[in-house]
Order: sequence, then structure tokens, then C-alpha cells
Amino acid sequence: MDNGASSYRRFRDNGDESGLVEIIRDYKDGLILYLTSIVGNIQTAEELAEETFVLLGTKKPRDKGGSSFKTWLYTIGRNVAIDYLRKYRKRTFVTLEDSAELVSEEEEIESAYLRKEQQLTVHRAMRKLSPEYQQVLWLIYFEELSNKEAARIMRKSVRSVESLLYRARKSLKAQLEKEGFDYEKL
Amino acid sequence: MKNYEEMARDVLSRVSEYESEQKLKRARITRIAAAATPVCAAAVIGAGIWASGALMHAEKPAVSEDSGIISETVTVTESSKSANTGSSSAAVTEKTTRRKEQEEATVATSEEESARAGAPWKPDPDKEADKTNEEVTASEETSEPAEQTEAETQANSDETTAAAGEHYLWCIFCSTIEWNGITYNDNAELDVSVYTQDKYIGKVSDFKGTYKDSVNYIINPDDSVYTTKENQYVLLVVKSEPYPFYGSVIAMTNPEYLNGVVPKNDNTDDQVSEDEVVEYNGVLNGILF
Repeated sequence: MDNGASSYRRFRDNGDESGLVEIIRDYKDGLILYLTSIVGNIQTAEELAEETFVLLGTKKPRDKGGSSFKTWLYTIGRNVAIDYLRKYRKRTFVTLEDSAELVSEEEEIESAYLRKEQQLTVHRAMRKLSPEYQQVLWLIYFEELSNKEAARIMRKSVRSVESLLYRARKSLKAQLEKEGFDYEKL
Repeated sequence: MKNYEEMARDVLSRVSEYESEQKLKRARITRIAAAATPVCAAAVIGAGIWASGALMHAEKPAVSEDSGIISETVTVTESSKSANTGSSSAAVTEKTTRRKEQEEATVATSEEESARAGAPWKPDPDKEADKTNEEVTASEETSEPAEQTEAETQANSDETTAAAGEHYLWCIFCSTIEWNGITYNDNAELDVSVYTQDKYIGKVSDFKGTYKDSVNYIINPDDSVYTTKENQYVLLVVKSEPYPFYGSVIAMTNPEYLNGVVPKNDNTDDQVSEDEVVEYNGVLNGILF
């Protein structure tokens, strides 16, 4: 399993569109949830995930090979999200009705992506943390990336990611305890 | 929320849209480049030619030579007027002003000779030279032309010989030689066939006179000079390199000693022989009947 690198090469070098379809199938939900932790809005995250795949299809960037395809894809997604935030941060607002709708959509994708009940509980508790804590926890506990890979995606050093992860776990623990969950059992 | 198939469909349609836009953009750029390249190339070549001065060289001789002759004509004319009227304030170009003194001297001599000779020479072999040409020739026809005029003539002759030869053929200057105190002018109206060569008296270069090693002069320094048995006032110059335009033998006479010389019969060309009349009538009969 090469985490989609061969599918992307097939698309980029031979113009095989099914390669891109496979990448979308495998990484769509995870990327949307990750981008949600950045932009705080699942609908926007979905648009940004689509933008990320369009960017792969049009610019056809070359993977430098320093990391896995997933890390590279998430890095692109994060850059797209940050660009979006720079452009539209001031204009982004969500009405209460939209907010309720978005929460239900997020729950749908959560339950589809996160099969285990425990993961669902933790993820919902995570939404109340700061975006950086959400990102690092998502990448390491849900996407099961290493500290190094998470650092690469977040454009931080491994040391600062480790520090960030420590504080994020502490914050998550406090949040879960506040909600009556036994963090030690997770 | 879209499922992955919907998202894949959207992504692929946007990708193909982007690619078609890129194709259009490339085609537009190619079209513009194809249109602009020849224009730019022509501009660069034109600028190159202009910068190298090739155009200037191509135009210069024609302009300078022609204008040189014309300005000289103007100069002579103005100078002649000045000489005749006694006025020295003719409004002419700077060039004319600079040359005026030399030209006046030249014209004075020229007028004197013309008066004596009754203008027996023909400067233009085509017999179609206009007044201006005649004036040019007259101004150049001097037994002892001023040094600068001679230098200019030499320059003109050299240019003519080197550049185009026949281009300046119409500009023929009168030639003279002096022998036994008499000035002999070339006389194209004399019937050369009537006279026979007697004594060889030397090359043209051995005599004083007006001649040059140029096609603009009828006699050249290397030509041989003979007396004639028939008339002591007629000399024959045999050309070392016969030029078809002038013929191989040139008659030289003095305007004051023209008694007994035999002129050329100009009407010979117009006379029609009996054979030609018969032939003509035959052709005419064939056409009419």
C-alpha cells in the first residue's frame, strides 16, 4: 500500500482519471475533517478539499518524495485552507440555522469516517479546543501520522509539535473530564 | 455533503475546463506570436540595414552624381550671367559662391572660344542633349581649364568609369590639342574617310590640350596623332582603344582654318537605294494584294 502515490502517478503521467478518482475516494473524508479543524466549518472544509483535488488535477505538482503521499496531500490541503483564511477570514460568518445544519453534516461525516464510538466522543470534545490543538490531535490520533509527519504538515518543528501535542492532550483531558468522560479509559 | 463520486465528477469537470482554457490561451498566444514575429523581424532587419548604412550607400552615388552635375550646371549658368551682366552678386548656393571665381575664369575662356569656333562641336552624340547639357559641355570646354575644375572633372570621370560607365556617357567634354601654335578641336562633322594619314607626330599626351583617360573625352592620352596628306589644318587622332561610340579615328580641326575641309554628309542615312525601294514595293504589294 503506497497511500495513493501510485494512483496519483498514474493520473499525472498517463492522464488516467481513475487515479484521481481513487485518491478522492480514499482521502476525501479525512481531509475534510482535518480542514474543518483549521477553518472551523465543514462546508468550507469540503469546498477546500475539492479545491485541493482540483489543484492536484490541474497543476499536477510533483511529490518531492520526502514524505508519504498522505502527508503531502494534507500539506497541500492545509496551504489551500490557510490561503482561504487569509482571503476570507473577515467575511466569514455563519447564521444560526446554517450552524445547526453544518453540525449535523459534520456528525454524518464523523460517523462515516470514525467507526469507533470512543473516537466519536473524543472528536466531539476536540471541537471545543483551539484550532492548533484540534489539528495536532487529529493528525496524530485519528490520521495516525507520526510527530515528524504532523510537523511537516503543520510547518512546525518536531519539537514544537511535541510540545503542542502535550498541551492539546492536557486540554482535551480537561474537556472530557468536564463532560463526565473518564479520560484514562480512552 | 457530496459523496466521493459527486466530488470526483466535479473535480474532473473543473480539471477539463481548466485544460480547455489553457489550450485556448496557448492558441491565442501562438496566433499573436505568429502575427508579431514577422513584423518584429522586419523591423529588426530594417533597423539593421539602416544602422549599417547600406541604404545610404545605395542612394548616395545616384544623388551625389546627378546633383553634382546639376549644381555644376547651375553654377555655370549663374556664372555666365554674372560675367555677361557684370554683376557678381548672383544668388546661388554656397557651393556656387565658393566656385564662382574659378568658374568665371573658365566661362570667359569658354565664351571666347565659342565665339571663334561658332560652336562646331557636338557634345551629345544622340543629338538630343538639352540646353543644360550644352552649357555644361561649354563650361568644361577650355583649353586650359582651372585646376579645381579639372580636378572635379577628373573626379567625375573616375566616378563614371568606376561606377557605371555608360550612365554618364551623355556628358562628353570637348577635347583639344595644340600643335604648331594652333589649337585643334575634335570635329565630329568632318568626313574622316576623305583624309589619309600622313606623318605620325606623337601621342596625344605629348601635346598640350584638354583630354583625359576617360570615356567622357573623345581623345585620350594614349591615342596617336597623325597629319593628313589632304589638309595641313586637319589632324587625325587614331584611338588606341577604339570606343564604338566615337569611332576609331577622330578628326581635329581649328575653327579658323576650315577652308577646304570636307564635312560629313548627314543625309546619307536618309537616302534610300534602288534595291531597297524595289524590296519595299514588293513587300507592299504582298500586303495589299
